[in-house]
Amino acid sequence: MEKKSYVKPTIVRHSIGVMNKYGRPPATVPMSRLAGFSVKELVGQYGSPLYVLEVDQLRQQYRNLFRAFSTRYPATRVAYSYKTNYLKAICSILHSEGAWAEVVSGFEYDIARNLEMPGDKIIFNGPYKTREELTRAFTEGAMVNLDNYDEIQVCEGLADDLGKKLPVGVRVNMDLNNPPWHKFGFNIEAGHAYEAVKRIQTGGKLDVRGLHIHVGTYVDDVNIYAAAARGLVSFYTYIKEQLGVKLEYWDMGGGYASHNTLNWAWQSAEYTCPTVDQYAEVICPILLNGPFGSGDAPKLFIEPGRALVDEPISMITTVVAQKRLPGGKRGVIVDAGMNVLSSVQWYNYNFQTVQDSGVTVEDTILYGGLCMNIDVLRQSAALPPVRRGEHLVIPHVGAYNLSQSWQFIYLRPAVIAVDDGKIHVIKARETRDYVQQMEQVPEDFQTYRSESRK
Amino acid sequence: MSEIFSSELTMSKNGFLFDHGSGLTYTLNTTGQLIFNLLESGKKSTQILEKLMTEFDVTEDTARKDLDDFYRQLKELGLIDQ
Amino acid sequence: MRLNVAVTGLHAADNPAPGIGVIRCLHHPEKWDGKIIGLAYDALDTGIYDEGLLDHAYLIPYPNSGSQALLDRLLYIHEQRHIDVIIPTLDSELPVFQKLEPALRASGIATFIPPKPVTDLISKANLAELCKDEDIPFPETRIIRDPAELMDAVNEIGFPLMIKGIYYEAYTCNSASDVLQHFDQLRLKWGLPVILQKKIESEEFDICCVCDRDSELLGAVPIRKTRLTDKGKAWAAVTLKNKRLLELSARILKQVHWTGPCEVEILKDVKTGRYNLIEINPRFPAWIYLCTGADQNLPKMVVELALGKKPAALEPAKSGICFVRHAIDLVCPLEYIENLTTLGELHYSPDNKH
Repeated sequence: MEKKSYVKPTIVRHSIGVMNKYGRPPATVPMSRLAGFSVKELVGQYGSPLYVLEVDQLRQQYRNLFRAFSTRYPATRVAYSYKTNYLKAICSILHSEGAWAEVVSGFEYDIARNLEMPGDKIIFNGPYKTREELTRAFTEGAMVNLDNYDEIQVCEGLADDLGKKLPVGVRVNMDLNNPPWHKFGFNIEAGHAYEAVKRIQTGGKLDVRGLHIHVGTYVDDVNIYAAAARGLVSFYTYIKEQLGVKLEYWDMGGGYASHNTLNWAWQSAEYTCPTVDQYAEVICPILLNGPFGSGDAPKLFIEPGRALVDEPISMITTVVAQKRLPGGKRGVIVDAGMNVLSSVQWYNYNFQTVQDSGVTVEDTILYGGLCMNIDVLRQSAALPPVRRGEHLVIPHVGAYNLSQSWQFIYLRPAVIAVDDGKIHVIKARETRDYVQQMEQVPEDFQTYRSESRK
Repeated sequence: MSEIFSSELTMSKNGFLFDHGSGLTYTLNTTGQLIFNLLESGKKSTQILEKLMTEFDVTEDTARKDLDDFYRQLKELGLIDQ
Repeated sequence: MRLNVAVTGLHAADNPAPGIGVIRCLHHPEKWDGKIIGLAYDALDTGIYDEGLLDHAYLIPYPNSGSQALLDRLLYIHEQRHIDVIIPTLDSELPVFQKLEPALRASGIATFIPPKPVTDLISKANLAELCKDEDIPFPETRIIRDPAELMDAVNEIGFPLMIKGIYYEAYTCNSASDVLQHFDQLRLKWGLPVILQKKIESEEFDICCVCDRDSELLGAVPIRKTRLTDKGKAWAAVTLKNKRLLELSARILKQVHWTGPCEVEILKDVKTGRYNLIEINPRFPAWIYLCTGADQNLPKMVVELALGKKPAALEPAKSGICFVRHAIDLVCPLEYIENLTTLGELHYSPDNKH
């Protein structure tokens, strides 16, 4: 007799919400394949946890975003925000699509140059740039957006040293009805931005060629971008009239959202995340009405990070244990911790089963594998039964989780890229030697060895 | 009605379980229903394990672990005493 | 033609959803001749058990399960019962029905809801701005997106003020400690932003409205709430004859390009006599049955509009009609709840499609 296929036995107490399984809960739709490969086989070969990049999707994200802006504002350039994920392979793919590099530290600048990005396709932002880094950037023709008076002074000194007037951009901020980003640049409403531009022009050593703003991170309200664009236009109009400044570029920064739902959001990102066309549609027409004639439009830079790399990367994890908490709630522990998924502090990630586990779901708390009480990946998710050794896929993990990961008690996972049916390892799983290679144990500290060998 | 349960329980053919003592209700999936019916008819753990292995395509190890987990849940929910 | 209409929002508990009121309107003056299909989120949604109102009840997935899960479920129900029109009645459902509208239409299911750009425009976070641009009177309002800005905004507006969640709930605050308490509560429950609004000494009026696709106001019933619960929900009300309310509603809805049903909330400042717009709720109100009592059966009108028909013009609503809300206990066998819980559906009516 043929045996029936088996599902793990479950009993679930009825409570509001959890039992409504009609319309199959998305978490129960098995995602046995990822990027065309069996999840099980990928883990077998490259280990778990594992980051998986779908190269085609990354290219599509870039092309779609560039199309949305450049069709509305032809002089658009996209500068990829390195800090979101500066794996060399990812930067290289985006550069091959035409992206410039937007870097916010000397380290990132060095990564870009090492990838043979010419200096004049690098935008150097951020509140902390050393004199040496600035010297290199100006010498190599990078665009530098200045953040504060101390930086202005350093650059004026550099202009003297280099014996020429240096082109600069100025980072501004304004009250956009968003958590204000007053940390960065000069405030427009308080008059600081005007003072800074005036001070630079009067000094005669630097020349303001650009304005830079960045309205926040994961900003899903396009009206905030509209307000920022209006602010830039009116500020440019004013400094043009008052100080004769002529801009070569304006830089609208990044902050564009992705299809991940924020922890505190009431509605799913499926309904709230604007399309790139919606962002472009509010920003471009406003900027095109700026104080310039036809054929004389400043270049428009946008600096997306999350909107490019978040969605093309998924993570595969493996269930290592499950338990019942006092009160009956189910806890599931997986092998990836918040050290490699730091965005769990912002996002309610989806956890997708890989095997068919039936449609009965239960309210579950998902723990990471770190030996730390705070390592919770999701407080509450409707999950079907899973067992040790089964896999869960977390989609849309490409932004920040890699660049902000920290090494802690486990070796960090590999990153593979699937391109046209081929798998490439773009970052190998760490080894103990790699983690310890910068360490030294001085001779004097080694006595215990000889003692213990006695 | 087996003595294993803490109070009178009725399960419908759809796996909807009503606890007459507490008024609480539960849903069991098909495997859960089978185990519940076996428990109700007084079967021992070893017999239930055997039944699972003859009915389903499952290894002894998995079935044993799942059965233990299921008992733990029943206990946690206050449906069985020991 | 006998039409099958599906309605959501069946839970009429302490904060009643409008679905049951909508269904009672469809059954007026005589029982609806097609089938009424109730779409519920939980087996204990109260309206399911009001025998005689529904022919069939189905559980549907929550909007945040994703649009595909809901679409699959609706198409399953459509296959079983054939749905001509769906009337969603909850604010939280609008985004998903807006997204699914083309797919539903392609399957022969009609809806009549405001499009997304319009509802974005009247969201609590945007309405104050819109009113300023369009010269519609609106009380002084601050949108708080950053907790650090809270106390500055409170000082600017002064007490008493109203504090509101981005989707639901509002409280009166008379002191900073009231503000802090409710701010955290609203932020945790509904997320940011939280809205602060000057509380004016005022009388509140509500107008249930329906606009066609050209944003013409085809039906409107103004009321005054005569008794409120402690959460500010109407427990009794009376219909009015008031030209200014109707004119202001028509002007506002035309300006925002409204389509579909809504509830317009207007405050009359008792000192200045000025009418201020407070909110537009993008759905029928829970007291919708009162409209039918006042001779404007707006849900039936929405069914016609959804099907692309031109409804007959309505007489102005009768004034002086009252409603009093009354809670009763419905009794049902456990099997009803079992059916919904285990199978996700419950059938009062024989299994024929039309």
